[in-house]
Amino acid sequence: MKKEKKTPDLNRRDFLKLGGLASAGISLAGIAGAGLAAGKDTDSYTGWERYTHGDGQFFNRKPFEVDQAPTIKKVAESRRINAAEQLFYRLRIAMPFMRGIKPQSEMPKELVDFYKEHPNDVEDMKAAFKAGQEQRKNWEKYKDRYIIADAWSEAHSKSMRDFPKRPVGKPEESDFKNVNPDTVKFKSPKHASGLMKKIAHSFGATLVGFCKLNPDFVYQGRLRGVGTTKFDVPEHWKNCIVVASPHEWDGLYANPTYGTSYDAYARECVIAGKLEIFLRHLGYSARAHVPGNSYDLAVVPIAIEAGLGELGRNSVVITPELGSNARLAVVTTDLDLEPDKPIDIGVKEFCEKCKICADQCPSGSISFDNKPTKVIRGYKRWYTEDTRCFGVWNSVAASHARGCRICIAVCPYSRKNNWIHTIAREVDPRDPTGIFSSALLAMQKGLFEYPEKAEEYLPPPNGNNKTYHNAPDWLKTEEWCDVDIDW
Amino acid sequence: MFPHSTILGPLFWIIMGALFVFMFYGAKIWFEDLSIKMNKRKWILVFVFFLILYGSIGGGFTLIGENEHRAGYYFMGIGGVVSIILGVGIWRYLLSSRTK
Amino acid sequence: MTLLIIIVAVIIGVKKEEQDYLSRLNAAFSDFDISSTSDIYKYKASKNNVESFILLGESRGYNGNILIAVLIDENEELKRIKILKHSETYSFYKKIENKKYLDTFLNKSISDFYQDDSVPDAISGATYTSGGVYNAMINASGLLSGKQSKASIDKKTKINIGLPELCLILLYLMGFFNYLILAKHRNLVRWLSIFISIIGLGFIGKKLLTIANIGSFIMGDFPDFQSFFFWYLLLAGILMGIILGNKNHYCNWVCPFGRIQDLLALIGGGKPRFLKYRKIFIKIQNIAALLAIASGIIYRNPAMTSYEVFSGMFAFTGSGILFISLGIFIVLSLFIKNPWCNYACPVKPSINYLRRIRKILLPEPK
Repeated sequence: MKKEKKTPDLNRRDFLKLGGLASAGISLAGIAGAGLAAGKDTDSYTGWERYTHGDGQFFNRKPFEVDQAPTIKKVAESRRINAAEQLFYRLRIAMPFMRGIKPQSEMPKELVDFYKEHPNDVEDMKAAFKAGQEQRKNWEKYKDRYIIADAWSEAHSKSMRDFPKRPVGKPEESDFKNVNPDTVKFKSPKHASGLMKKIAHSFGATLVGFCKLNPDFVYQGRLRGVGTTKFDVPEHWKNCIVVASPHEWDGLYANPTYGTSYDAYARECVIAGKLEIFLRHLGYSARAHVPGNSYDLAVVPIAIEAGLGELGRNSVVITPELGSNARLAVVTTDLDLEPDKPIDIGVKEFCEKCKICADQCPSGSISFDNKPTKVIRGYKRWYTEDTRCFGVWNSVAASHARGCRICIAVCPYSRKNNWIHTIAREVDPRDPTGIFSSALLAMQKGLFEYPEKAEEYLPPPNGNNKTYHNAPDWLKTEEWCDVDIDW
Repeated sequence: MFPHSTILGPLFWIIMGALFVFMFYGAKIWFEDLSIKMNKRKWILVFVFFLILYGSIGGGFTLIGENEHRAGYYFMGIGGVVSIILGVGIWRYLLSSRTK
Repeated sequence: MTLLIIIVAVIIGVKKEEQDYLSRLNAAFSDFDISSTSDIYKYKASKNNVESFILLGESRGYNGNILIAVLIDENEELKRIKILKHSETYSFYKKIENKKYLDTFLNKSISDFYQDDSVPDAISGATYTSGGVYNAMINASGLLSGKQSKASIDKKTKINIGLPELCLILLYLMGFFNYLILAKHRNLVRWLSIFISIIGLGFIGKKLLTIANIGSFIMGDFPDFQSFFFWYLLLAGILMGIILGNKNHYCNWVCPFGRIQDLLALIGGGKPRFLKYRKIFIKIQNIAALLAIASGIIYRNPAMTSYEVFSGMFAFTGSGILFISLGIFIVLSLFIKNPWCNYACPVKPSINYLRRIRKILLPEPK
């Protein structure tokens, strides 16, 4: 029999007695708190879970707000973006000249200037067209394998055709169409922002941010609703509401062939379109700039200024919650909103050492430089060779070309939300030495599986239609249909 | 954690909590039976071992659940080997710290 | 008996080696008609009535020489580059392949190579291999003009003495003069040696003796003294240890993987075990080493049959099987004293073979 210890401080029995009592009290309080949380839990809103309440924007940006976005530093005189400098607008402008329909002498000055600065662009563009022709021929070969993924993409894609209603006529008329003549007055810009955040979330936005419109990011030379024209930035384009939605994650990781851009694009169109109507109904002008190339401005730098994230090496905005998987839309309005501040969460330092997207890009359009070297229209930032990227964009096996998205899928920031990624997400920005992110990067490059050559993502003969991860069962034709499997 | 239930999730963690209490209390009894006198520093060592072992298994299986099988196996492999070395080392240290 | 096998292997290997570059060229450039010229390193290649040249260049990689063939068109531009022969370790060679190192040279003019003072970035993690490829390119391009290139990697005339060399010297000194150390300092010296070896030679220097080195040496592949000073120092230490005192200082003092096992045995209380079956295990260990070395020599690629697990431990490079074996040996090291050294390593039997020779040549007085 063990003797009871006669010591001046607590012996084991007393400790258990006191501890037991304290535990009872604490656990009772715990049950009360758990009950409260269960009642309020946004996961219990069947059909309207989580992100419609803004739970998708779970990262606390306040500690990381800065005055100057670290990844888009203005170092020289800036100017607006010529439409010729945007890939899809350039395609439209250059096509008649490339096809020989119009003579070279009629080339607009912006296009001539662009080709002077980018002498390889014509060759890259021709290669992209050739890839597109191959791609159309290839579809017969790969139809069986990808038809379900293709149908899924088409469903999203076609849904975007008619909503939001694209602008018709000058912005001074178009943005005010059906606007309520009685303007609702808000208590303060802060109240306006507070409300618009909740409303945007309720319309389905995962991330929402606000900023003043920086005219540097508005295109020049092409205006939706009007056409090819030079224009001053309208006065009523005061503030921007930026909304972001992610791609479906399993489809994203099965890029380039099973994934699509249109799942996120369709969501963005719905959100921005509804915001447009909501704002006009309260008496404010609103103009939605939505993906599928219906923009009058460049959405990525606006999202960065609105504090959603930082510019990544892959030229997209890298957000804490979604990583690179954040597709954007902007609504310009004259509603007075309190702008958000840009953030610094260590993306700049991470991109400098990571380079996974550059390594995995099948077209090699992403820079391997340790730091950005190019100054583009006054801003020193990362830059992607867009026409070269287009060459692969145009080659992916689908009923019609719709992009590759590998740089988004392989980015280490593009991760779902569970405890291991929460640790990474919260610790890395708070570590001034960078040791934690270097350790994470070493694990990412060492433990995780990547194809050896980026060309593997391309269709045969250059590659073998490899996807980053295996597709989910609901995108695989062979799981559900009678097909001859030759892959 | 259990998408079709709102009860199993909290129940799971209640049971896990009870199991952890059981485990550490049992460890305490084991150490007493082996005549290992435990103090705060030794308990911290045991706790660190527990964290590394459970962290490796938890993290590795999370990666597997995310469809990153290779990363999960390698993570568990490295964590597992480190846990074994640490475990053997701490075990021998605890045994050798017994005063006769 | 062992000697006989090695000699036979060398003879077979030499016979097998295609000194006939033409057959290798025909395989690599099958769409061309290739004919030799008076120069053994220069060939004519014609296709569709267009004549080009193929130049061969050879330079040292990590394990042995790399032979490269470059196709030069009429504008003196490099149109195709093929590696004809190499003996690099597979995982390092794959890095060259994957990073498309060779592609960076395509479509450059020959004159670029001996005017450019800047050298392309070596592939990280495969510096010697990519350096060897580049030097071979230089040698190939130099043939056309007869000029020497200004640029080349690591063309040192001075002996390179860095951290690994210093650690190696220190460790050999500790081994040789261990008997002079006072008993009370022995422990400290031993601990010091463990950490110097593991950190200096292992993780930082990543220099361990493998049968890739042993095989190359037997094949007569002696790299230049200055750049590979470390290995000559290593060899000298082994020979001196054997000759002077019939001791294997490399295994007992230098090898970082052995020190890792020592460390683990300290933690886990590892003792020599299975002593009853020791004779059989030694036989298996020796035969495996001999087979690996011999086949490496026969196929003129000693790195191919090298089965050590060191790269997984110190360079974190290797196949899944290598990592699993490494894990097994690490765990075993806790409970068995030096399981890799005493049951699996091919280096120990090789050095012990030299000790047996020494015993025959210099018998110890009774």
